Amino acid sequence: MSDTARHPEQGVPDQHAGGPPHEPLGEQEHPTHHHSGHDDSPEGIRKEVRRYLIVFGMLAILTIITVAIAQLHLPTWKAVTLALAVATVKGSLVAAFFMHLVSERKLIYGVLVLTVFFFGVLMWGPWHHRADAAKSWPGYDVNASKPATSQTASPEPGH
Amino acid sequence: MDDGHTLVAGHDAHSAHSHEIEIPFTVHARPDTGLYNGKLGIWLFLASEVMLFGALFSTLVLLRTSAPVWPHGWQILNVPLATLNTFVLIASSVTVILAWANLRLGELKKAKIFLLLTLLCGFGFMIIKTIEYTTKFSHHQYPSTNNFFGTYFVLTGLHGLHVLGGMIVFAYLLMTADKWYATKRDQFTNRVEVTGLYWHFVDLVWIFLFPILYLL
Amino acid sequence: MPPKRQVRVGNQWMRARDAQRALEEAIRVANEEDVHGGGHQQPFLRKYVFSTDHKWIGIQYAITALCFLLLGFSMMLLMRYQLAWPGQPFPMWIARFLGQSNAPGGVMLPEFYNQLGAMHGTVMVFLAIVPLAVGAFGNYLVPLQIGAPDMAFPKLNMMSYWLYLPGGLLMLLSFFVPGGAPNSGWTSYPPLSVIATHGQTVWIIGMIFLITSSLLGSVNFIVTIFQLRAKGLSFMRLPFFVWAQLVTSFLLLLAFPPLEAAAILQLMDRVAGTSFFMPSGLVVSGTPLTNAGGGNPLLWQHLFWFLAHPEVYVLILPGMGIIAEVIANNTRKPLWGYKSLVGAGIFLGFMSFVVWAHHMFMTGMGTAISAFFQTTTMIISIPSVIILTALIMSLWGASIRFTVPMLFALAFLPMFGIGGLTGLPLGLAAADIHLHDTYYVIGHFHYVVAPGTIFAMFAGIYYWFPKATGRQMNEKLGKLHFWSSLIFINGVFAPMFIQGLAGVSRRLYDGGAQYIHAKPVLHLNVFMSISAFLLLAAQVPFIFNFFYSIFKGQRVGSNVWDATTIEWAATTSPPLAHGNFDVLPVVYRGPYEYSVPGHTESDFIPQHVPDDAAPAPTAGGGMLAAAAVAQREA
Repeated sequence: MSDTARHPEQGVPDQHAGGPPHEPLGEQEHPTHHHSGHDDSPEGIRKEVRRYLIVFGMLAILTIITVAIAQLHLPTWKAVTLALAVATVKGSLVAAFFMHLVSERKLIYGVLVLTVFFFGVLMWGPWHHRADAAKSWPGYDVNASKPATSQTASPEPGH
Repeated sequence: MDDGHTLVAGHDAHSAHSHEIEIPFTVHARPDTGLYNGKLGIWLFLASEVMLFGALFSTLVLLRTSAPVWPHGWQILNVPLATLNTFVLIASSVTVILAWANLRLGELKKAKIFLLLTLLCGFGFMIIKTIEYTTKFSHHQYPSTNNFFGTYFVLTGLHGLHVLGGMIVFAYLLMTADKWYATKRDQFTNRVEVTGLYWHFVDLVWIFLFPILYLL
Repeated sequence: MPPKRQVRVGNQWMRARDAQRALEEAIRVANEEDVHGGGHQQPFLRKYVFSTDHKWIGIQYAITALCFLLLGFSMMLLMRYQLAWPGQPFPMWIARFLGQSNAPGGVMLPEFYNQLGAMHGTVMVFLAIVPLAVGAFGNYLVPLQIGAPDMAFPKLNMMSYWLYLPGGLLMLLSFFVPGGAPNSGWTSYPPLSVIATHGQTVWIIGMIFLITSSLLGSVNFIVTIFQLRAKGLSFMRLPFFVWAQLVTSFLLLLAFPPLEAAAILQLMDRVAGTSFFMPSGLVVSGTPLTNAGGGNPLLWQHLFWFLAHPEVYVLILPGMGIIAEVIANNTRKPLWGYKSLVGAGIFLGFMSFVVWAHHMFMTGMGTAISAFFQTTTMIISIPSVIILTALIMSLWGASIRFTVPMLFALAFLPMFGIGGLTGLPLGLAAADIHLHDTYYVIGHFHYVVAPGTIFAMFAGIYYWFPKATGRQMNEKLGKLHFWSSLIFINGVFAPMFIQGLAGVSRRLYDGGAQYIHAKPVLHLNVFMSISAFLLLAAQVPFIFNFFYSIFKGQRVGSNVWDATTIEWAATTSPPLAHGNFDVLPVVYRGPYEYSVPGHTESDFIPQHVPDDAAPAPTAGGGMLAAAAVAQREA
């Protein structure tokens, strides 16, 4: 039976369970509150601007750091891990502060968590297929594609 | 109360409707979700973009890890130029958010300047990209040369198309800023915010593309 | 004392039937003035071609999709003729239509058979079913069912349609490029698809149009459902149809982009000479290919099926939503296990992203990854079973009204059951060794989509036709359509399981005639083809009924089925052109308050009616009755 059949309703709409946060509905006009979690007073906005400029500074420094690390020509896995780590920090700064994710709503977080999970699945799938096949079937590598060696892989730095 | 129209729940046949249907929560947030429509819309779109670039990153991972030989990015690509481009894009992220902040402060002129700066940064990015590409072509390095170049061109090319798309929208916002600010200020501010979110995402993709393609 | 059995209209007392006519007249006048009033008459192009009204866009999608459905069906009929009588010429008039390049002397060329195969799949999946299920039914009904004036982004909605139509037409035009239509299967596997004729490039470009259309649409649907629900309409009060559309939209949003990326990569391989999917050392017709090589054909399969598996849930979920609505309405009971339905739907959507490689069991997958995907595939059958069980249990103890929509809904249950059950051996890697790429697979998925989803679409058309047009389709013709379709569709697809188990491969131009192991089951081809032609004949009463009833169908009131959901109970048939509702409804209860204990005035309470004003029953006049009662009480 319907879950609402048991609730006594006195004309108060029952909105609940399994949906978005419990706040009364209605087109309330709050001119200063149309941005989630933002303080729209001039003072608040100027504080935000200061924050953005600090984040910009951090991003610039991190960029220099990641280029510097790359000059060390570390072994592959170390290089990859470090590069991705720095990129993740930079990306998080952009997402958290420029895209205001620190103060965003649960619904957005939910969509993003779901997306990141499927992104991970997509990254894992093709790679693991090949890795597992190579492990399970001896000689699989021989039949796999042989890429042309890059004739243009000259050691000239940057071009 | 005497005409037959009252049965139709009070429909007033004589009110002149414009053909713009008013959609709730276009400008102001819906209380329970805390979002206005455009903001939810752009985040959903960005989620789909994550999957789009994700597929290309997955392609790169598979092709690179299964290749016996794969050059390092810094052996072939122009790291200094790309580093400059990284700064350019990060700067443009700052300018766009300053544009939005100024709109909320009521400073239309400053906002337009920052929008223009964002657009110029976008131009700068595309010019540097063009230099990179044409240099490659002049050395007979094309997407078809091998999969290193194939993945490089497709990833940066698709990213570049997204930069172009953003620039078109910023140009439109700049051109219509005065009119919109005068008549639909909050909606215009929202549009700048939403475009800014898209632009930050484009910056975010580059933040990962740059090290993965150029530094590894 | 009011006169007996009369209702008050304005300042007059009149009989109910006259009152109903007066109401409809008032609505017609109001709609007229709505359109032409205040000097704001919309130009024809803006109103009917580039409309931003979700109802009209839904109708545009419906008509376009139904045309594509018929086209895809015709392609299959051509194929089935060839399968039943391989090498036999077509009748003169068909042969002349097909032309000498496709069927010299009236005999179908294998190349043309391949084109028909690839196009049948593409047209049915991307141009017919999804646009009908989501673009037509979703667009038309979701805003109405949630009490919204339109979609969240009406202009975006218009753009979605106007990307779909050119994309679809482009796909069809591919028949006329040199080399003909795409011929590498709807799955377009490289390396074949990369070296295939020009039609494949057209396919890719068409897909980019369609995917973009779909992405815009899915954003629109999700925002609309989250943001524009009426006051009081919490998520657990949504009709299951809306839940189904919500999950479907998330699938489209997140699963399509990888295919878009893959399409770009394949396009580059075809026109720019890249080698994303092309391994080294390929030799075609004795000539080595000159591309750089180093690519991986399996990469395409991963990216393709990453979409295409969620896509099949896109194909079925809206249909399940429609069936749920029709069953609740025609059993006069709430759905059994609403919460289970919702939970299973969400879980199904989520799981659909992690089962895709069960389409790739035969690609030399390793043991660990095979085990993983086999496990997830088995798990995903659980929510499907939950949904089907809930729908079947909803029939228990019901007083069923055997209306035409209900007949299709009832048939859906066992047909989808067969489709689902036959999927299980395919999901088991060991069994799949024998069954992969055989007619068993074709039988399985057609059972789910044809007597499954398409029957759900028919149920939806018969059910909501009165809402969209204010008229009802003819019942006798509907029953004829139903029974003949049910019999013949089983005739087409049931023997496929037998052929598949015997080992007959799919995509064979001669239907298996050249293989010894196919000989014992070859005769079934004739049986299936004749069933297919009879199935075509069975659609004639439907097509006639559909168009005839638009103009001459029996006029009915705004809530002909006495339904509880907002689209039926809170607006006219058809709904008010501008903004659907005069006053946006407020919701007070769940979506299926039928036969509520203690409520004796009628066997249903609409969602938007406050407790103290529930309507008395009148034949098909829910809204009228509500107003009448209000007048009587005033």
